[in-house]
Amino acid sequence: MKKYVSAVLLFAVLLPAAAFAGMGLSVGAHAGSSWYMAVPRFADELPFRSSVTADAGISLGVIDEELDYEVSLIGAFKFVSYSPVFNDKRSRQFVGGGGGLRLLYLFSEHWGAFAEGVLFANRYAVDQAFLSTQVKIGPYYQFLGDGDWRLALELPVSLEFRKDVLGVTVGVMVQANYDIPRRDNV
Amino acid sequence: MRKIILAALLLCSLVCASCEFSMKEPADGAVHYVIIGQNYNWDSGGHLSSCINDAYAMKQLIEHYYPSTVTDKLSSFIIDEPASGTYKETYYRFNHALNLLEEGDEENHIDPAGDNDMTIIYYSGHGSESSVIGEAGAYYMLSEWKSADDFDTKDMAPAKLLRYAKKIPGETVIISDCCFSGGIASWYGNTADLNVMGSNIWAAALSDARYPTTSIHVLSAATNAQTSKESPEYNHGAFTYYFLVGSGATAETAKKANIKDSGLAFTSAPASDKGKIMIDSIFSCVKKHVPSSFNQNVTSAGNPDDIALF
Repeated sequence: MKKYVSAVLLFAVLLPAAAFAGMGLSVGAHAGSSWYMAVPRFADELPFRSSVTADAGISLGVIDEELDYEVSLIGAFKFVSYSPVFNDKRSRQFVGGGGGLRLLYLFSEHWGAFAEGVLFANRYAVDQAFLSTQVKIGPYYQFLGDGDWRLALELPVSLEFRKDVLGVTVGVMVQANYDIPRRDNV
Repeated sequence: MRKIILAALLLCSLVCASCEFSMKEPADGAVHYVIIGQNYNWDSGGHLSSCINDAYAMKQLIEHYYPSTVTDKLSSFIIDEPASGTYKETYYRFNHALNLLEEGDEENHIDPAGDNDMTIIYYSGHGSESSVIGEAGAYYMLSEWKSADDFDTKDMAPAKLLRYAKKIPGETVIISDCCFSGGIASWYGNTADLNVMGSNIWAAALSDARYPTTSIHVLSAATNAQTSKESPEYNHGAFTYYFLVGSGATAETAKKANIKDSGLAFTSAPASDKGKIMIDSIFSCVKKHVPSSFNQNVTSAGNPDDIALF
């Protein structure tokens, strides 16, 4: 936990330094939805219970001159719905917010891959809180851009580590970025 | 781009593969209850007059939704109005009721609870905070009214109740309307220390997050730092009254004193969520309606699963 926070804080300090060192800055936002499988770490009738998530977030990062990679600090928010009732039980709904790091590497002009890790503070409707860590990876496809702006579609797959449940998600995400300085080739 | 759209459509179709839609639900198990109501009317203090009424009303509520409990041999109804400070009968009967659920009674041909059953344990009476018997900050369901220095093994401490409850096959729901009753959630729940509930639950989560056992579900009238109130206006504890009304009892009949065995009438339940009264939905309903002047926060342990009570 302390190492994780330290890494985020270190990056927060390095970010402006990188900008001063000639790297570009990128401001981004994302929104999307996922299918959430809550795999219980306790006895249950089902191998997993299914929910739907709504995800959103913002990011601030550095990009290299060729725009081969981007490293960002992200703030993420999510809502995970109740699962359908099965055998008079359902997976609890919760909301969460947190921060973490994101890496994007572009293989070509349009295609890339991203990875991110976020520490979430979550809250059930019954006024109970819990922490989770989410690790997310997936392909990145940039389908729109004009030099300043990039608009991309992502298909993230994630693992969310909770004390009592392992969350597995598969989803769709739209990522928008505004890059400084201007890019020439999109 | 077409590939992306196809992949997105494939993701959408995954939802249809959810276990909830593709697997067959197991047969419904039986429902049992252990209901305890203890009034206290003697002179040395701690006067409680509506706990027996609470117990009768809860019995009717459960029997309304689960008529089979009327003849269920594993269900126990224990009411008591001790005449002196030395009365310990309730504790022994409570113990016996929990043992019966766990082990059954071979001699009388009573089988124990099954793995798919649900047991509702309801308690209305005194609760007290104690720093003795190695459970600081824990609450006790009291078998008698006494000072904090005099707790002993005849009082039902959270750890002891949880030990019993964990042995009962199936799901167990513990509902308690007594002072400091959030102690059971804090002893067991996800967030651990509910002294800070309502002000900073994040600090609680960060300081000591426990791993819950999910076959036990907890709903209590107050946090482990609050007293639970009864009111002559309701003839019940405030928590129990709003629990009853949220679960479908009419407000007029729920307010009756001496409700006994057949006083409650029922209507559609405000806390119903798609036809089921879930712990989350009754939690929200009671939390919304208990007047803030009572200064008590309904509390639940943070299990990852929500369960249908009725």
